[in-house]
Amino acid sequence: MFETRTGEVARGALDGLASRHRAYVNNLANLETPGFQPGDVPFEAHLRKFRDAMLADPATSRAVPPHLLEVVPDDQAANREDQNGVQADRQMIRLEENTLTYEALAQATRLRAGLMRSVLTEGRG
Amino acid sequence: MSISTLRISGSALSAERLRLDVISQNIANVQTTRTSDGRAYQRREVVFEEVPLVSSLRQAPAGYAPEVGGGGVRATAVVASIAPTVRVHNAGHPDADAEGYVEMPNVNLVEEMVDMVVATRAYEANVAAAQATKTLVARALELGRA
Repeated sequence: MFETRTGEVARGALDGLASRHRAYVNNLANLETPGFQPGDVPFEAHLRKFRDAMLADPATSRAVPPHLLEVVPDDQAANREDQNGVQADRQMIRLEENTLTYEALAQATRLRAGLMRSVLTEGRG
Repeated sequence: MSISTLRISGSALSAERLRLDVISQNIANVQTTRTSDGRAYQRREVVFEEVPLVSSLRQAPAGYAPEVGGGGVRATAVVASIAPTVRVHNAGHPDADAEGYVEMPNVNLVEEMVDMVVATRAYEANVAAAQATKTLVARALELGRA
């Protein structure tokens, strides 16, 4: 009951969000680097496949697939004169959005751990 | 959640601060006609270079060291601008040539002010990014708390 699919998917999502955060922070660090192309981590599609594979065959490896965290180019269509592809405002909003998603998922994971604890202590914990 | 993500923002803060230093130097020398190379001051520019982001150790190239390959930006050089200097007629100036012209720096104050605003905004964006990293790390640490 502790090794659940929900737990694995939540862990994969937390890793994906952290990796995406790193990519966004790097985009903002290179706001003024000529020719820089921003990156993103589109982990959701990979994670969905990972979840479906686990559903179809419970014996599937539960390790989070490494390509889930890969950084791919993200065309933000900035059309800047210095060929830098980062749109500062859009990038900032996406960073905030990602932070809030991470906070929400972290909180949900904690609540879930609280349920487990309550089961272990027979509701007296 | 990796704490080293803070270093990416840190590298940008250092680079933008260097740029602000260079802009200040340019503005301070807007009227300087004498430098160590014997001519008027040449506007300086900072060259930024991306430090490639390695998203996982699996993708890391041989000889990868997290402190140099983990993403961010670095200022690789401070170069003199190739823009032509301005020749101003001022026969009474101690640095005037035989025809009475003085070579003045190629610093354009308006350009420097615009660059200063851009560098300041980029600095602020990276401070915000560092704050976001702190939030994520704090939440990750809470996961292990009762």
